[in-house]
Amino acid sequence: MKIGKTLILLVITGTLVSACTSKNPASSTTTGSSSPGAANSKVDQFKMPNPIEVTTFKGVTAGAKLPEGDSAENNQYTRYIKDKTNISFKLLWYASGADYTQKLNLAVASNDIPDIMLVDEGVFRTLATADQLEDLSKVYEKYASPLTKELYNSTNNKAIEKATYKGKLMGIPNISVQADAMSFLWVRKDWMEKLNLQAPKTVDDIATIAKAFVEKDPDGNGKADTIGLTGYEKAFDNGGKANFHNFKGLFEAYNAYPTNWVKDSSGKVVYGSIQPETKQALGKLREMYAAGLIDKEFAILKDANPNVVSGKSGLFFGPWWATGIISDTFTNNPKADFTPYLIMDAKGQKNNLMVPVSNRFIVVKKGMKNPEAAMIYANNFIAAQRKVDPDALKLDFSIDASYWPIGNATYDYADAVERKSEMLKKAMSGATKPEELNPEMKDMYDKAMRDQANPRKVIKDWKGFWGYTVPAELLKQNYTKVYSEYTAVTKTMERKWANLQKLETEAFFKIVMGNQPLDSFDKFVSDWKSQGGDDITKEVQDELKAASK
Amino acid sequence: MVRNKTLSARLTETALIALMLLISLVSIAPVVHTISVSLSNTSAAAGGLVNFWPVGFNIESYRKIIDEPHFINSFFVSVKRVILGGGVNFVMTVLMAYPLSRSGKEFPLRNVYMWFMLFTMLFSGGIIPLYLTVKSLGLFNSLWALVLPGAVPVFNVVLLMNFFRNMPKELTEAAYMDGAGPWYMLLKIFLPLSLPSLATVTLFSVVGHWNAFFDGMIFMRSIEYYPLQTYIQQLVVQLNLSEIDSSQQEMLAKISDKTLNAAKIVVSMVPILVVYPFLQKYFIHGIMLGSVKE
Amino acid sequence: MNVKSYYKHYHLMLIPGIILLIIFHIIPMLGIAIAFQDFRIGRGVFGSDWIGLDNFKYLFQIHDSSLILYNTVFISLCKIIAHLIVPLVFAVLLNEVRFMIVKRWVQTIVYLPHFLSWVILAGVVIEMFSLKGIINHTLQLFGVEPIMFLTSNTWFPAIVVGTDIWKEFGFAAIIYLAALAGINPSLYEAAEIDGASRLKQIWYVTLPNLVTTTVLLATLSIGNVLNAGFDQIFNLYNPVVYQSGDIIDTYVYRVGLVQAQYGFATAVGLLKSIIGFILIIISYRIAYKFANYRIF
Repeated sequence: MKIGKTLILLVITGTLVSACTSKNPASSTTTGSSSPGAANSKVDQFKMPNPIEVTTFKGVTAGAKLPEGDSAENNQYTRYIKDKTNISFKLLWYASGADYTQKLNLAVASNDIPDIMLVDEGVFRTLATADQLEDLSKVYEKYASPLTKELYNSTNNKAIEKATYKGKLMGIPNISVQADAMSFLWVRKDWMEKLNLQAPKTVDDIATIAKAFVEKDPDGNGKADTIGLTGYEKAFDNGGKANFHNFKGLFEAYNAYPTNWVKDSSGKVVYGSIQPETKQALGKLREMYAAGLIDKEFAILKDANPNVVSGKSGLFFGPWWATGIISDTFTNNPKADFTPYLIMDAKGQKNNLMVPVSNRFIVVKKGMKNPEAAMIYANNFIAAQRKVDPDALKLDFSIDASYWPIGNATYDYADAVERKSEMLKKAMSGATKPEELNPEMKDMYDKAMRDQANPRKVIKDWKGFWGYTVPAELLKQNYTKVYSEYTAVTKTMERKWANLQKLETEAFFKIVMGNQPLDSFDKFVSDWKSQGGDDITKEVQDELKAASK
Repeated sequence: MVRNKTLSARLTETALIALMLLISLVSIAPVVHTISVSLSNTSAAAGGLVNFWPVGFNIESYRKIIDEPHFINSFFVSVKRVILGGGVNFVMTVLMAYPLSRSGKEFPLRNVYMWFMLFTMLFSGGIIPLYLTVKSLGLFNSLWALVLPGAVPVFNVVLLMNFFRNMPKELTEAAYMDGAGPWYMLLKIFLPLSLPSLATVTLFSVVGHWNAFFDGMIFMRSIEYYPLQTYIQQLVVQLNLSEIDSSQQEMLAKISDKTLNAAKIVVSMVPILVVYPFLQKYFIHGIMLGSVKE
Repeated sequence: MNVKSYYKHYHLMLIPGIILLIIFHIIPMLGIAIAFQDFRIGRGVFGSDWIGLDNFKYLFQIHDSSLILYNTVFISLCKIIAHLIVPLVFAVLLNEVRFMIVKRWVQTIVYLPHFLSWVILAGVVIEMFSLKGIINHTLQLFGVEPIMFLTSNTWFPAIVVGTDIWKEFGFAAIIYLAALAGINPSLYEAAEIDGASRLKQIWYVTLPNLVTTTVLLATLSIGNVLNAGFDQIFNLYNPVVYQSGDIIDTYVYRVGLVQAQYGFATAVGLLKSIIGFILIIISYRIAYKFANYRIF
């Protein structure tokens, strides 16, 4: 009990400290007012009364290094959690990438799941529908720490809604980092300067730059081998996360959100791919493709990175953290330089389709004896990730986060990137002392300082901080937030969605590549509707209506 | 006349060799490409700048492989698997091919066995029941999980059975006359005379075991039990770009390390190349020579 | 010959293998039941609803199921035929090479691509057939305009079949080489004494000795007529060539991406097995009738 109180005190003070740097003073008051109540409750929200063992499995980053002697089951993170919570996680298995997904699906299909695990939305829904999960509603009420509750309140309860199935809380949702949603247009600055081009603001500016890049030999090798805007085989998939080389940023400039269920102007939820805005955007893409301003062969590429890295293209859409590709480009061509831009719509406004508020869920197997262990784990994990627990500061955060007992997920602020960017900026301008930074920020600061002294001398240093400077600044601008309203699978979708997707991608590619006239879009829309799309739209609208009641 | 003939023979021979070299060139191109990538610098490889010659030659990727404990470990898991699995396959193939190569008259039930096996070759209950079977036998993390489900390579059995059946009658009949029993016939007469086909089926099962990755992925629950191809698969497999977010930057960098992946593929091919000549000689030379006297 | 007393030895030789097949193949076949169910995770085989042939019907209700079926059969038939002929011709030609060193090296080299997975090879193939790739480069020398092969529904199936042969012919030739190695050399000696030319030797000695192997491989491969090669096509195709390249397996894969559908996937697998089995029986009968040889 004593430890619990101390911890909660620490949490409060910790939050207050971090609140000093936060832009939103409201959050600290919330925590301050709610925590005394929590301290009065009878349970320890941070530690199991007796040591328990809990089975789990998890995905691990391929090839992520651990210190000698440590393992996926026994490392600083697992020891930290064991020490704090009395929970030791028995790792049934772990795997990486597609391998993990395969194994997980097989385990799920064979009813072979562990006590506690971290799953994505698809698996979460499958398990919830199959009644394989423990109801965590009461556990959440009783055990969620003030900090944890504050975290979910900060999403207007959207995260909790996402983890609720038939009125019961079936999982502990994570908080997605919203910075990952923004699709930037990355442009070779050195080429723009050489060709005297203006910074792009609209889609037409993209076309102008692409035209100049393609025709005016920006790399000066005397060959007409430069390609315009990059694309790849999934260029029309527009999730919440900004991908490399897709056209999310361009679609958004037309207020078009293909492959997503969004609210139309009348507030009704509709499928983005069949809207007139999408047709308009496709028309523009088609025009650009015909003019040779988009990679002729984008449809066959699994990965368009080589086009950028080799210096064949200087124009691509990508996320704020595109520094990996850029640094590879530097190595091949030291003169290369990139700047990110946001592309505005006709009204001069930037639209941004956001990442679903949560995409990972901690779930508990139905019938597990101590479901509160999941909440206790989450409380500690959140405290550690927010660095409000001083002991967590001793952890070496350069060790891959997938080595946490149940794997990697962000339970950090949705605007974590912007916050870190602010901290870095203040430290670099001297407003805060570097010693006051937490180890993660200190490391970033050191890298930034080294790079300032010797620009781009050590690419790893540059890569380690630069994303938090120029691109993160753009994130702080005003933009319209668009939400994907429906991410689950309806009954009719199970059987008909694959066919509709085929119709859609086939139509989009053929229209843009000029195999079909632009007006064949209308035929696609009517086919889509008649082959099940209308039924699905109705199901989606009904489900959302039922949920909002 | 004679000179003319040898000239045309020479021409044929030269044309033939030229054709063979051309075919080899086409076949070896991807391998040379992979080797070149493995010896290039990572940025050049990421930019797709490497063709058939390394760009920015270095052996860093091979150094990294030697440093990775899991790679070496997986390598030996694979070696053990090939020896055990290849051995089990060999015994099963030989034992089953012989009785099945007897005619219906000599062994009436052979047809039942035969069609039963063909049935198992074509039909399967899918991966979930197999997973549950292996689980209930407690074979997770055991080498046997990689060996037993595929212990009977039906294709190889059919192949060897047909080779057995085409054995010159003179040989077998003589032995029968001498009253040789089935075991004697199989071990002393059939096996020594079928080295080319035995080499073929052995090669098939060894290569099959060496290349298999899927079973390792689902039955092995910890990386230290992964066979090599499973280990490589999880690193090389195309990452779903649309699933990545900023927290997986390191993973992206790892996966896109094309030079390292290429080096791993090259290293994984070496053992097959080392073993190959030992088996190859059997299907290039005529081994039956001398045993058949007419 | 006291044949009957051999029976027990024959059984003894077969039993271990049969037991393993029962454990790892027959028992798991209970899972086929899923094909007739609306299989739901959590309820398992015993708790899921029986829906008769719905899963099978669904396959044929897919909007363009006939096109997908056509693509599958077309690509796989082309592959089957090519896989019978190309390795055979190659093996016979290689067998004619008199230089042992050339023979050995060529044989080793052509078998290498078999060890590269499609994930790797697809990258090479896409590069080769791209606008700036070696194929278009070569064509340009002959004045041909660059072709976008991989987005062309005319070329795509040909590329799939061609590159599959490229990857596998060397490995497939091994069976033929082994059969060739088994031919009694005295047959060639006799033919040579009779003054038979090389071509005639191939025609009258080599090829007849390969008939059994060829028929056997043909029969076995016919069973795969609905497997057009998922790994390869999955790594090579793109939406523009769905029309000519979307096969059953790629479609089922995409259906599974929306939501894992074990019932449907199992039904498709079962259907493929049944058709494969029937085709094998038919070709076994045909082979028996015309070549008078029982391959099984």
